[in-house]
Amino acid sequence: MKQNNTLCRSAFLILFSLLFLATANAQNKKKFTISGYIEDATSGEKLISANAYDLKSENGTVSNIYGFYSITLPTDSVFITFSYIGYQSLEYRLSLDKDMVINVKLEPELSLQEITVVADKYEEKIEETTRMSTVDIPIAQIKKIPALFGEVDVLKALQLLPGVQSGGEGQNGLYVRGGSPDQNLILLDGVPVYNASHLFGFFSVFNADAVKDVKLTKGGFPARYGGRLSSVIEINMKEGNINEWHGAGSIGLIASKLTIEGPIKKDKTSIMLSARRTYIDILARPLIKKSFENNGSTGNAGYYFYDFNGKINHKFSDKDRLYFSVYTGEDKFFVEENYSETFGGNNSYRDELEVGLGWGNITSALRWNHLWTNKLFSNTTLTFSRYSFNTKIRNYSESDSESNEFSVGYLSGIDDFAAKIDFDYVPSPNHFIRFGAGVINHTFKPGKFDVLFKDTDLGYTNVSIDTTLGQSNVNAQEFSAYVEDDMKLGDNLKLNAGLHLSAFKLKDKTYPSIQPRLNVRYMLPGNVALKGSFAMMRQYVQLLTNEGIGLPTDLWLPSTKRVKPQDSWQLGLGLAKTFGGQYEVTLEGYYKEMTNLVAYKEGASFITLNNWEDDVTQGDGKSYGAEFFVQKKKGRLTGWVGYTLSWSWRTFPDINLGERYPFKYDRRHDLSIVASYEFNDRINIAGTWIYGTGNAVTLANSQYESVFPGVNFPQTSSSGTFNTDFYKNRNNFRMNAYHRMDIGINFVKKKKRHTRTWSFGAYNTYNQNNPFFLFTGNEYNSSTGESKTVLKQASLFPIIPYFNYSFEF
Amino acid sequence: MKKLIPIFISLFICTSCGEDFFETTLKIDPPPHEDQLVLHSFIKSSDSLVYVSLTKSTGILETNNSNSGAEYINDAAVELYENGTLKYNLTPTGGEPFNYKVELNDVFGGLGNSYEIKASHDDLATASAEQKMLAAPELTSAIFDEDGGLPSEYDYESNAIDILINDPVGENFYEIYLIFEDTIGGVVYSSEKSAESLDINTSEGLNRSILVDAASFDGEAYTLQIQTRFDWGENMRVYVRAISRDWFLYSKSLSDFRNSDDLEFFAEPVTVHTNIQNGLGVFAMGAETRIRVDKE
Repeated sequence: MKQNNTLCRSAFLILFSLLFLATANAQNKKKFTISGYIEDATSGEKLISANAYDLKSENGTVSNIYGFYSITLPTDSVFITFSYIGYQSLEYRLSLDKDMVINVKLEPELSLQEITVVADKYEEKIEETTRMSTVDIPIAQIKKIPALFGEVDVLKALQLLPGVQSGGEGQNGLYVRGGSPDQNLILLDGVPVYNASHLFGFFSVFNADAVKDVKLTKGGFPARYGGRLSSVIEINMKEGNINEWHGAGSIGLIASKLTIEGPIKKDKTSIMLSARRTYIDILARPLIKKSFENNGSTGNAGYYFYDFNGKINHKFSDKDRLYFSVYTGEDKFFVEENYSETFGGNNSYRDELEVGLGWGNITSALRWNHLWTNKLFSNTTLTFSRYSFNTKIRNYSESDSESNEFSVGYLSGIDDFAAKIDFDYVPSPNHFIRFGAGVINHTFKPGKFDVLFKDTDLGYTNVSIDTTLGQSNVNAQEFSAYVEDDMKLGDNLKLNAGLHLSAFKLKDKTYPSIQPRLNVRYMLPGNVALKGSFAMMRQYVQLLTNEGIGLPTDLWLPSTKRVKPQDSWQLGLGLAKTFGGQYEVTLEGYYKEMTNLVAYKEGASFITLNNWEDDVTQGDGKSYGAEFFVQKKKGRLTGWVGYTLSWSWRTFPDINLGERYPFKYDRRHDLSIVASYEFNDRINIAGTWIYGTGNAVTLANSQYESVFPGVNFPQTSSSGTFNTDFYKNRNNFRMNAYHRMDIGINFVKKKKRHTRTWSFGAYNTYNQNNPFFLFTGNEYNSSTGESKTVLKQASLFPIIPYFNYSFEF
Repeated sequence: MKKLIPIFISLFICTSCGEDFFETTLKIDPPPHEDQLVLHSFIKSSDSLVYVSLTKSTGILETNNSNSGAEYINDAAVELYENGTLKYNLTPTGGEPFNYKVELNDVFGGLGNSYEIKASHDDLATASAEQKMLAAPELTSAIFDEDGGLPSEYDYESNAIDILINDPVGENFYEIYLIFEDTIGGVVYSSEKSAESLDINTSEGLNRSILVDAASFDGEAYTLQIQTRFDWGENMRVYVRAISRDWFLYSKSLSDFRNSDDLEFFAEPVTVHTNIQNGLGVFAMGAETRIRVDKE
């Protein structure tokens, strides 16, 4: 504890010394500021992390996530260039003798234009930045990656990155550097999304047509991030084309999508609306109805999910912009059956069955961008996020003399209301300071059952059970504040230092936390960047879930007096270099320790009615490894190769008799190759190949009979026995290695008024039997007439071809 | 392009019409297994009979031909050593599940002594375990408080029994039973009743017992409350046993294993504790104090 205090005090001192230096340095010479927004010339979409670079003084900056940039330079003639990957650069030569506002519109490059490296063209390279363990994938690249049933999936694309592992076959859960899925902060337009899954985890809730960009941070967290231990996934929705109306849509095997965007008032207000729905329930309805009729009843059954994304933004002036975005999505499974019969003349019988299962998210964000000065930018956000899961089973039967009604309803979820303000302050090209504060009010709904059991006999009604079981809602508040400075100290040294402060209050218990963050980059000879990072993180909410299929019964729960917040610290060290202007290469090692992790106790299950605090235990985790990543973002051939060598361990006093055991997703080797190639502007092909060491699972080594004497044994002979499986260790067995290749081809044709694309492909092209789960079954030998028990592996998806038709106008 | 579309769609239809479209199975090798002796024995200081159950473990995919589900080993040498000296040779009983025994002339006693049990068999590695005999717990009272417990989730009224334990310094574990005694024709019949405790030092054990880890009240007098739905009776007792860490872990883990067995796929796996070297099962010792429950 004392060590922690010393560490935090030192971190404070270092940070404020640097901030003082920043301010002092900024006041040395007469300087002026160029600021503005950088956007796509055709759509008006703001470009994130676009570069503004003065070739003369060799100072530069990048735009923030709202496209705003600010660069302060000494009085002089400047030669400033604005650039962004996939766009044509713009250059300005001007004499800087006053503050200036330059709003920049960059024209997209033709997709097949081969990139020639121009000596004076500046683009911030991976070795320039202090950021490490961060990857962004262009959404255009994600859309080309072949996908299960042809349904483009943002989260599954992230699973192809080093340090990120998938769970089971087809699942979209992300296991980042030995962490669990609840340790990922998934932000959709800055709003946390608590359940990112459709259809039991086979699809994510993010409709790629509505997404503008995706960024994953898995280590070296800057101070502005907090609340989760393992990663931050930022997904920003498109803002809507501010210049002209456009649309896109697709018809696929399981779902169709439609997106429209355009100006409500040109150059002032734009809107984007996007919707997706599956339709297997509609297509199968006649068959299902027929099936009920064959059983002598009437009814319907089905499953569907839908998403809706909407965003509207308005530019009041160059200084004020307002955005409102909303997402809602839901999965629904339902069965309705009615049966009736008349017998013996006037006697009748009627039976009704209703089963409903639904879960979904609603998120919304209202954001106000304000430019206080040409160096100070703020973003104020009000957000709401809800995840709810509810189920209802009702059975009613009635005859002439009596009736019975039984119903069970279950509801659980979480609601968040949050307010946040973030500031970007750019005093000089050597400093980019961010600071801000926020508060979240969480309402946890840990699960409530409504049970009714009623019967009526000869006019008398007897209500056997009419009660509500479970736990009442819990309110908690989470506070945070941060300050960080991205600074340049000399030609070779850059660092990002910061502090993240947070606190969590639940009833009379408050947990405060100070989390220092540091990213350092030192340029070695040959333009090889040596990078290091340190980050402490704290998490106050946790997900109780089974680690298999992504069931919607996921329960988000707070830290309490008994269940302490989860903490981690992570150290990273790496090298980065861009080769030939096109190949970004990084090699990173990491070491992460986690404390107060939450897991179900041995024997506990998510389907029991116990108080959840009685069912969980807390322990520690440790993970370490190395990641190699080569990415090519430009040219006909794009893609990446990622390889991870890693170890991940857990130690819980109440699990595995307190001994260390491998995490279920401890994966020694993980390799992914992603490539797409454009033959011409009409045909492109894409493929992925992935390989991963098999998941660790717990299988009994042997079986035996346990014996336990009765209370009065041996005076009386009472005793019990129980057939017992003996597990030598938790996660003692490895499933077979996982490997798969997916291939897709897109045929694009420009028509008079629109562009259409036919996509064909196959998931699991070489039909590999990949492990989904293990089970024991009987094997019958017809020649000997004997059957024996064998261990089997179930595989889920064989080769699954797909086709998809999409269009843009 | 138009010519290609029918080809792709035909390919799609041909490849997606397999019999097991969404599930294929593959036989794989199970984890390695070596047969081991399985020994169970629990000796109280007040016992005048010592019983041992000796069986053999099997691989998870093996099915044995025994009716009881266990392969009993009746041709082993089972020995009990006291402070390193052989004290008893146990002989086969022919019964199940305890298939070895030794009859004593007096109660076992042995307070503070170390005991080692060994089971040797020609075909299997010798299994052994060590324990120390514990002192009986010191109890001062057990008081019945009608409606003193918290209502259950179904709103049933709950009675409470406050048990005052004087915990000696050091690592101590207890096992508590609530017993009702009936005297019929001069013979005392006892039956254990279900009880539970909300005390954070407790957990559920075998035979409806409450297990107590005394770490948080080491060396102190501690009042432990148990709750029961059964009404007060003249012949109500609590049995409190001082138990070893090994029995505490075994009873807790086996209880968890039994409770989770119905949940199969959904429950977290449970590792049942064993303290048998080169084998499985448990060898444990304890001492018991019985106290009559009085009404407040």
